[in-house]
Amino acid sequence: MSFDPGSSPAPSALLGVEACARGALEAGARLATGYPGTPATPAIEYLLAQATEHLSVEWAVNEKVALEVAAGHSWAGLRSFVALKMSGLNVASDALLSVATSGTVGGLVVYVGDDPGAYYGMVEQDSRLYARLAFLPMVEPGCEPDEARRMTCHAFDVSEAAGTPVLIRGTTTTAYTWGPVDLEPLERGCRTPRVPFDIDRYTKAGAARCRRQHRQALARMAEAARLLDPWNQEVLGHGDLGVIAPASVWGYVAEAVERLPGNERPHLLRIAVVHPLPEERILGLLSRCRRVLVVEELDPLIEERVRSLAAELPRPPRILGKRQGLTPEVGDLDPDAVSAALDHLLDREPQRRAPRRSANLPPSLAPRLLTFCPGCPHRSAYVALERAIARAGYRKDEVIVTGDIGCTILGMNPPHSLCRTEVAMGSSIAVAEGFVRAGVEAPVVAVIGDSTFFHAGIPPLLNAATKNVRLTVLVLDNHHAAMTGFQPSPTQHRPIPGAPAQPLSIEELARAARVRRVRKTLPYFTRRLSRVLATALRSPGVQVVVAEAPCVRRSTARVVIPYQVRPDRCVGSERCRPSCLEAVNCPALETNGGETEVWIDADRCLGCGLCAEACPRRAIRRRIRSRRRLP
Amino acid sequence: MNLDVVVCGVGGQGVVTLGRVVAGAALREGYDVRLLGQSGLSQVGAPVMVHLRIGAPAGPSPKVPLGAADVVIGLERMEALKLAPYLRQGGTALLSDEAVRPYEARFRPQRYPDRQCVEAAFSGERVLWIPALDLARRHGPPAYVGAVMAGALASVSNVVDRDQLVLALRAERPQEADAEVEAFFAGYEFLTGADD
Repeated sequence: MSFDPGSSPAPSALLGVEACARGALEAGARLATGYPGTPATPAIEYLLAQATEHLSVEWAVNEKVALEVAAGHSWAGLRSFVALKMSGLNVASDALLSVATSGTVGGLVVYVGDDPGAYYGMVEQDSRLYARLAFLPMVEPGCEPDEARRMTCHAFDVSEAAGTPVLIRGTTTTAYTWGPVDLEPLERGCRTPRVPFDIDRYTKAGAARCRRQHRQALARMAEAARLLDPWNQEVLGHGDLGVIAPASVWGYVAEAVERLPGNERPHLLRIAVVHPLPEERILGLLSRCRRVLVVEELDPLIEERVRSLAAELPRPPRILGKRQGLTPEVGDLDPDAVSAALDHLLDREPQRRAPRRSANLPPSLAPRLLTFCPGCPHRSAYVALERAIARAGYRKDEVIVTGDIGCTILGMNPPHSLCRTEVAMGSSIAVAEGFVRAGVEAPVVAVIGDSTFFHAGIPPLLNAATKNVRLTVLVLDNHHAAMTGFQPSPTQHRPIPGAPAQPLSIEELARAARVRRVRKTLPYFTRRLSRVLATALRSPGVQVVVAEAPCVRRSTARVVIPYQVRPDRCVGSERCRPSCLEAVNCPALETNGGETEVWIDADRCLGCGLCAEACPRRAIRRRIRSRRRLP
Repeated sequence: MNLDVVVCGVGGQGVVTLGRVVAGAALREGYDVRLLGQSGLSQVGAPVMVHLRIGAPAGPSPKVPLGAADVVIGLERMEALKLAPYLRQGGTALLSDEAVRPYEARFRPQRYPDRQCVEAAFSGERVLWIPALDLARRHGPPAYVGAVMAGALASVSNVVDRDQLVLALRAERPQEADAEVEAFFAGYEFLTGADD
């Protein structure tokens, strides 16, 4: 690729996951849907920004719904694209297996983002196993966004030609690698929807029917693998050593091999179709080698298959990998880990001396625990909950609080230290019910965000309400899925661009479920909220309290009047118990290391006033003169 | 000419934007670029690390190998410790003295590193401290520290042209370009001035 330096416009570049979305756009997808979840979020975000009249893009209420909408859309003959994270695929998996055995008409491509290394704090899972479970072909782009774009485009053609959904697997590293792409024109053809009556294909009741569908799914998968096979790639080397690696970690292998002299380079096989595996190519490489290293992240899926294929050969080569501990099963890989494994394969001293400097922070340093942004309504809500616990006559450690996915879980960290559990989307309510059923005497509180509540919180609420369990559900409604990048939640969802907002109401849903008492208040009114919560804690039956205020990072306020510490009244955080720092831990509160003085960063303060309320000496005041305009 | 850079900081400081600006400038100059943003959550205060590889072609691995970065840029004093293993021998560390203290360190100052501790981690390599927060505040909000550090990078490396960096900065943040470009030059002049 060559570009004119100077005045020419910047060449196009995209994240790997955005490039997959771009591929879907170029392939003529007419529907794109998903639910926000890092590292898959940017796919839908990218398409939302590119919306054309040919493409409808939306955030679904959860991943299962997204996949089902896409399945119907593609059964009507139109191409559809779904993007979700690995835990989202778990949610959608029930539908995935069923759709897979029915196949597709219009191309259906599902992007799943895995997170080796658990950078985004969820169970570290290997979604390649879903391809095996659901009889689906799965491809994996490497760290070149342009390859991701072309591969997704091709996946749509293959999906239609073979009649099967195709999974594309990204990892945090391939999804978040940003690099140049060549943009191609979009496919603009128009198809008329047609829904055939074919119960043998689209229904499941009947054992013979299900067995036939199973057989057909396996045949479709084999056909798709044949069509996708050119994405796999061999590079012949010298000698009798070989390396097999999937595309997601290929960059590390290439980096390590590049450092070797030409005559020492092993035979290489880069696997892009990670299910079903290219057995012919693997056998071809094995027959040339005496020893083969398999490099992959998370589960040793390729390694185990390679080992069993090797056993079929008359002179089986030795297969090296996770079984010998050469690469870890936990966490993501990096070029240095792969270099070390390659050195082992080549029987030589480590080429790259480990730097003298350690990669880990000294344990004597304080861990960086996440907390809410300055001015966040959730911080006010948790402070109110702490006060409500005291007001209802309990100690903080007596009341059991369950947390849920999203920003709301940060109530687990100091100074609140309230949430004890985090399981899956919507689980806070059911887990709390479990504590009640176990016979816990003290009140039990489930704290859940609005987007999480709609995603999977309604069924457990119905369960608790129909059994009339003594349980308080605190819904922190900020109108957004904030942690993944402020996507709109159904409490402010606009179904069609330009149409009036038709927000859903959590209170009305709760009332319809016969919840005993439903209350709603602004979290910034901490005194009122703590009164409402204290009443809820003392009352029998399911209590729903909605604390509603829009996410402060998406606030429409244009002027902020920050607070200030009056140095003549402040005695410093050391002599003050509980100090504003301990009570609210707002990032806008600053201390100077060893000194006791506290001040407020006027550029970060958003004027929520929580610290002023917490200050026992009334040393924190609003200062109208220092008000500032927000852009 | 290759340039490998690792940038570290916390959410809200513009770490990913800084990476985008430098990567965008390199793309405009015709280089191949890989930018890996290991941002955590869109939360203020979460640790963020960005790997940037520039070359023709760029290195195949999206992550910079240990001991291979030509320049490391730290926007926060404690996070900067994570950069030490990436810096190659003879490389340069550009560090902002900004301290974003974790909860515990607010009460126990000894649990937060001071400058000497950070410098010791880099064991003798060239460490340049830049008062990025002060310089940013002189021209606008604290989020301009990224622009200041981009300016500092322009003064220690000529792989990416300074004027292309300014163009990329304007393209990345069109609303607030002028003030942010001033912050960029503040960072640039802080280091070039020190050399004279």
